[in-house]
Amino acid sequence: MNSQVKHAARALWRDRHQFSLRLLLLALILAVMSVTAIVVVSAQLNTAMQLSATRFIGADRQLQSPREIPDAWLARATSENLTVARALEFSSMLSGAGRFQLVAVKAVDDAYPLKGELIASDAQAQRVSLSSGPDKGRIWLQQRLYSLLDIDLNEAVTVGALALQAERVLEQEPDVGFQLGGLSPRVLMHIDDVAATGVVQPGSRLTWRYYFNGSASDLAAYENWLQPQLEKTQEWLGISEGRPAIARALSKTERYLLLGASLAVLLACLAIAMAARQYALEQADAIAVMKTLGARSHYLLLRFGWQLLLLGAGGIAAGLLLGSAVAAWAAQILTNWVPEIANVPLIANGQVLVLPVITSLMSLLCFAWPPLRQVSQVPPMQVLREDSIQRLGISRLSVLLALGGISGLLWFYLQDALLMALLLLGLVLATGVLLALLWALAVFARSTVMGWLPLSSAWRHAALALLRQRGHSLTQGAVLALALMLVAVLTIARVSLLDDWKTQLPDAAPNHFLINIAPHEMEALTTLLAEQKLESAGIYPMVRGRLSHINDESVRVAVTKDVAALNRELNLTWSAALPEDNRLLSGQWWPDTNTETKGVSVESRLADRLGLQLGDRLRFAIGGSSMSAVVTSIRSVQWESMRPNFYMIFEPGALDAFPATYITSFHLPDDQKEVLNTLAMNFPSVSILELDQVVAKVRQIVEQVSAMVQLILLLIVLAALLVMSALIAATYAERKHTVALLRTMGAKRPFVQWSQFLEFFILGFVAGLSAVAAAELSMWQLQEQLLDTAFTPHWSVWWQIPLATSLLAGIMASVQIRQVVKTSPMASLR
Amino acid sequence: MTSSHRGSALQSHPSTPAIEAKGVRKSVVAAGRSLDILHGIDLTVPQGESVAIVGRSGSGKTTLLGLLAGLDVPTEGSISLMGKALEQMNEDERAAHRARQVGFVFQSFHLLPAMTALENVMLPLELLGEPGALTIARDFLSELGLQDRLDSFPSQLSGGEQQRVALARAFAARPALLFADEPTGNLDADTGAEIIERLFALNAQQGTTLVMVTHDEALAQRCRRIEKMDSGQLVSTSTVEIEQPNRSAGMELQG
Repeated sequence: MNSQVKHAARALWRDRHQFSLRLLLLALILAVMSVTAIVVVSAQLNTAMQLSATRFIGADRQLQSPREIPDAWLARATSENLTVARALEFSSMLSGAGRFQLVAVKAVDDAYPLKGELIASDAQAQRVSLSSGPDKGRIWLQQRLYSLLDIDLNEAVTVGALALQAERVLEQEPDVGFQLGGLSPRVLMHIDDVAATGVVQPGSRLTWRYYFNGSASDLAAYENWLQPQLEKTQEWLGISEGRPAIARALSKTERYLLLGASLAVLLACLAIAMAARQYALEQADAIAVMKTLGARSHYLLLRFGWQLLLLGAGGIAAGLLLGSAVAAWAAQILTNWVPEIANVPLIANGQVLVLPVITSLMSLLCFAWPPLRQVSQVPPMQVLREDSIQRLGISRLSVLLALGGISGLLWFYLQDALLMALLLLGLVLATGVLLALLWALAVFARSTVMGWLPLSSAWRHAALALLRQRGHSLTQGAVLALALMLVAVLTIARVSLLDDWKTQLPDAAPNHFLINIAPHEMEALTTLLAEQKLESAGIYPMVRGRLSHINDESVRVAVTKDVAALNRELNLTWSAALPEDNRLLSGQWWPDTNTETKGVSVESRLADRLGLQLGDRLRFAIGGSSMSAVVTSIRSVQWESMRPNFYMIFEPGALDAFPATYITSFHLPDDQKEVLNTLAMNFPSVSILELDQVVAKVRQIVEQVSAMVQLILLLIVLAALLVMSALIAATYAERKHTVALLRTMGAKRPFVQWSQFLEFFILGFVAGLSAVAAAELSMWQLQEQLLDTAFTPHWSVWWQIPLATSLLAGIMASVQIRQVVKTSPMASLR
Repeated sequence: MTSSHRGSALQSHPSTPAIEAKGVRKSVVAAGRSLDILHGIDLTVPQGESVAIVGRSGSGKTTLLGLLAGLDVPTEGSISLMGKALEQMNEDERAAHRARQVGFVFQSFHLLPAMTALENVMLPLELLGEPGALTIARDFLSELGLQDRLDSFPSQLSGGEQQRVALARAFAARPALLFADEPTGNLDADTGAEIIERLFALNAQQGTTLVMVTHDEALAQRCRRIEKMDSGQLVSTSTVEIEQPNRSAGMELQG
């Protein structure tokens, strides 16, 4: 056993200059590295996102209630080791310097906030992050209020009966989402001052917020105790209530990263398989000798087993290290986005490293072991033959293991049968297209065009060389096409992902909403916006209504799932034209019918959840009356676009019987903030929603995520290069012979070099083209499934990828084969 | 040299032939049709004899050697090696039998490139589980004048040195049978002659049965018996009466 390990180690060491072994090791390192980087980042990100989500609710958990909760509940929380903070929200008039303004007041205790950032600035306009809100007797106002009331910092304002000193400018509260709740300018004061204002009377509309911090188990225990006692009006907020825009961007990115990781692993496995095959071939002679000397197969298997284990140990160690380094880098980038990441250790739990180790062992077992096992069957008679084995057949076991390995890995990473099927289908497609292209090449080669090429043409030689070994070229081309297809899929996904974000959030993405616009104000408002050169994202009418029946059956009966949209009034609108960024998925946009019942177009995800079909009849309760409409189309909506978006869009005229207000959104540059005051003064009943910070944040995320997406693509390209390199190396021995013969027969070195370059150039081109075709076909299905975006053909990659791959293949082949061309023919033939 | 006897020549009755081949036929399927390489070979080699198999390229010498050594199995017929029928064994059993009974010397040396000279010689001993492998191998190499090259790798050795290592490897396990395939084919005349001298010396010393394939008539003359092959058949047998100890191994004839 000992000498086995020693010999295996020595064999590896002696072979360290062998290209195939280096490739094998590199591919292994790359696989481990990709997986390590992804799982480490992903685990870290998840923990951080959980922390981060709590920032948005100001604590680990939040309880929202229209009434003060019983003291016993708070006592219980304290006894469960939870920290508690309180806030009370209400609307009130704020007065100062003789002017009045309706404001949203939040009164907080000293413990608030438990999580997240409370940012305010002082007279020096210094933004500072504070650990608690204003003291008693002080109040913080949003910037806009200072100009609306025409007061300065430290002047007095009055809330109800109480005068307070305007101490700071309120910049950011942790727990203000962009629900339609935050309509008025906001102020922050101390909760102990509330009684003195006299504003809060029995019957006032109040929102009490209770914040809880504690360990996961304490929180869970409290939650279990509390949940059964909660009334319908009370809402318990957990981490899943984090901001949807960020969460969605994150989940898209995570899916992309996982897809990238699994593709990188697949490619690395391909490279491992190729390199191991080559390495195995190089061992054939030695195996035959050992067999001749009496080595039995189990001895050889054990020896290769040790070699793989030793190689695996080295590769895994290096891969884990490199992967962690990449993860550390990614974590640093992500800190800007999710600051909590800084507080999460890179590898919090050794368990995350199990996955890369298992992946690498699996890839060795499924892809490297079969050829080595196969070559250990080489007959001892081989020692007496002059020529070495040039190729290994593909055994059924290796095919089974490889397929099993690929499916296993894909399943492991994607956990998505459809996605897996699509990827595998893509592979079949790539091979199909490749076959067709090679056939076309063969026809072309036999055609007269070929005859026009001079006999001595390197092009002619290269094309013929490819065709002569059709079977071999096909295998090579298929492997290359497969590798390139994976690269193409990821490139296309990347282009789509980034473009998608960019188009959704252009620099001029709307960052302010105006709601509650009365019909008679529309014209004046539009004029005002135009004067200020502010472009609105369309003005939509809005009627509030509740979906009550589906096909004359109450929604309470028709829909068994708990769908939030059924519990509240929906914003209903009508429009003659399909909004710009909506897409019709099925049905027609207002079929030309004059039926009594008007049509309605439903957002696709809601339609899914409600189980709505085209032709379903919906009844809505609007005010005291009701109206019906038939579902005539289902459409997708880009919720992140910051434009007014609607679940239900009606045919024009359908809602004429109901009073409507209007809604719009527009982009307001930072230096034009004053416009808001003009708007507020001219249209006092219009509510202004400021989302500029949210938009800025989302845009920042997009930029940072792009960097990670690029990194993944880089890993994939590296893996593909390894595959290509392995392919070229696999033909090395044969090529050496051919080149030597050519040169012996008088071919000049440049001719040989050029024809070798061209052979791979053509192969690279054909494989690249097949890859793009297959990738586009797969993405056509994949994109909506995976990235939730619409598919459009990516014409640029149709020439970029084939060109890049043909050049790369040609150049890499030239470099790798350079030695063969340089060696004297005599040395090669001997 | 140590006298640790691994070879089991002594285990077989001396009257058992070292090799007994009867009606051996070998055909291969090439390009869809069957091609006969050997047609009905009968050959008996008593223990301790030396036999040269000569013939033109393509006459089937090497195939016959491979079959006799159990590296491959005949299409028809039977071959016994030291009294054991090879066709009744599977490949692993034949390998085990070879490990105990057979040594090889090849035209292109076939040393394992990842092992030192010493390790190459130790390999067959280790495969047998010989505990004194290191000492035996070192002694053999020293006897062949390679005491200073023990830790050299094959790529660092000259052709002659490599073949000497191969000789040490072949004889280290004291095989009952030695198969040599053109042992001087890749060596210059002088070096080849030296190797042949050493080979025959070791052979005589260990009383090994020798089967050698060669083109070289002169080299063949060193053996007790010469079997001539043509088109897959043994066409003539001649016996050499007197050994010619100082004869050169002859010129290189490469085919």
